Amino acid sequence: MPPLETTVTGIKLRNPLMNASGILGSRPEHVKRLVQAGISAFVSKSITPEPREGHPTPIIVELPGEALLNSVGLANPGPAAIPGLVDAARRAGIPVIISVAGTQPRDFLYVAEAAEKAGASAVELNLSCPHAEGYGLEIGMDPSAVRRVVGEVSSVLSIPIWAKLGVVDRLIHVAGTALDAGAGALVLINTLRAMAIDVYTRRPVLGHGVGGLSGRPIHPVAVRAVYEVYREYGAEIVGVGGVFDWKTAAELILAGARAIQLGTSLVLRGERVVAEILEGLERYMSETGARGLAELVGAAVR
Amino acid sequence: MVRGSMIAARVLENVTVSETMRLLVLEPMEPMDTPGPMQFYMVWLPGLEEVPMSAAGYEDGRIHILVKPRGPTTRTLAGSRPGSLVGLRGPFGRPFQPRGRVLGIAGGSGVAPFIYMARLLGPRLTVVYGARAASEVGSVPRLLEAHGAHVLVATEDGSVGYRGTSVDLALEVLGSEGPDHVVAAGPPAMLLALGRALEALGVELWVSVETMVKCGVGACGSCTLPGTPFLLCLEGPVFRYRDTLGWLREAAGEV
Repeated sequence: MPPLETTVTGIKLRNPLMNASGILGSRPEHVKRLVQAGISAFVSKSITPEPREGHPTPIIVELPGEALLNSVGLANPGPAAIPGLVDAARRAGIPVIISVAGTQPRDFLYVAEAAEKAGASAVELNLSCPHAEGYGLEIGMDPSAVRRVVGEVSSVLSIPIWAKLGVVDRLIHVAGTALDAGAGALVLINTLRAMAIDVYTRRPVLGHGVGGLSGRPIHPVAVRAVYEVYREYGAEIVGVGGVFDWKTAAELILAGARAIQLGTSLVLRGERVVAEILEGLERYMSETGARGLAELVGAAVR
Repeated sequence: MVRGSMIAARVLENVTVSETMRLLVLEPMEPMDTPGPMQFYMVWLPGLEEVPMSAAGYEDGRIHILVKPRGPTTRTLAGSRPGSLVGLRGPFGRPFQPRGRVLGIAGGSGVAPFIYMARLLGPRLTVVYGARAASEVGSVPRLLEAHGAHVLVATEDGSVGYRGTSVDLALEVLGSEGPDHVVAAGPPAMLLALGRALEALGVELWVSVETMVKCGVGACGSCTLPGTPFLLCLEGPVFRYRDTLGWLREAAGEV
């Protein structure tokens, strides 16, 4: 087995890096771009049962320390776009994960069924978007809502279900609930609820006011979240949050992640960051005598 | 590299250019990178939205933009008083830095980036500027000529300059001189007409297009050129005509 190969819920990935949902991912044209960057699986923008315009601009600002603050507001083309995205990824020869968002269990089920019908490899349930009222984190912070959403989707779908969770007070409890309800993997973490104010105009900068913080500053939070959940359940985890280089990737893997998603680093460093991280990981593995990624997953957890 | 921070900027001047266009001089409160030709900013009006605007000039750290009222944000921006504040992110896009002699063809407010290009290229640049009538032309020729660029004006009603469209005039110019590069900016229908005419002549055309731009940093994908992997905010706004065909036809209502 090539050293960087990994699997998540039985889906074979030729390397551990994929894009995080929301970095491009709403049009077939984007698939080509991300594939050229070297990702091993394509994760779509979160799809809701109806198309959404999203929040008013500004939707994103860069912050010091290689960070972004965004409030895109789940802008997406709706389920009609799913077949085109799946086909583009299939043609490129990589697995495709459709991210699904909604306000109630039947929304998730509707989009997830469309994804399965179109031939998606898995669905990623967005239980953690921090800036759209009624969506994401508002569900993901309530264990009984998580149980209903994941349970309803898993009772119908045959393809694997990944649950993307955010940082909530009782994360271990919520993570356990998602696994118990049928999630095959957990994706940890999403952006953190945050705000930036322009001191001259004296206004919150984002059109929506509140947004989600991503990038370097949230990496240690992601490491902690992955570590604690892996220690508790030994679950399959996809780590996300502030991965900018091989070292930040390796940390998440050692904390328990079998694969990694890249968001902010793809934006701030450009698409070459994928190749840089993969080269670095390979060097690190040969320097430290690791024969495969599987040896490293959760190796720091005790 | 990304220049995505929001920097507050003070409106220093608001000058009437024509019946429909204003030139704003903006002074950022913190240093920003020098724009390259054809690069653009996201201009934010607190309480309203953020809109893409080409750099129409740059002098002593001050950024010039040309504003034509289209929606609530650009209307308010066009009426902004000296001393008021806006937010700026950028410059975004890829600078378009042609060597040799350049023929620019501009329709309406598409002339904005050529005003900046004139400052950088001087007499190497000839601009064919098309407008409906003299009232829309205003002081645009003077702004272009200030740095030595050559200007030819076409108006549809013939009230000033050549009577006809910028495309008609550009074809006449191309018949008599052979520039090293031809680049155009303006309404989609004009760009399509020009692209088709130049394709027939075997002349390569670069076009600066306007799509919906939201994030400016290659994350949201709203500025994707249909049928291509290109994002306007990263690889644009200037593309080879054939890469923009899908978008132009969509924007002109042909498909």
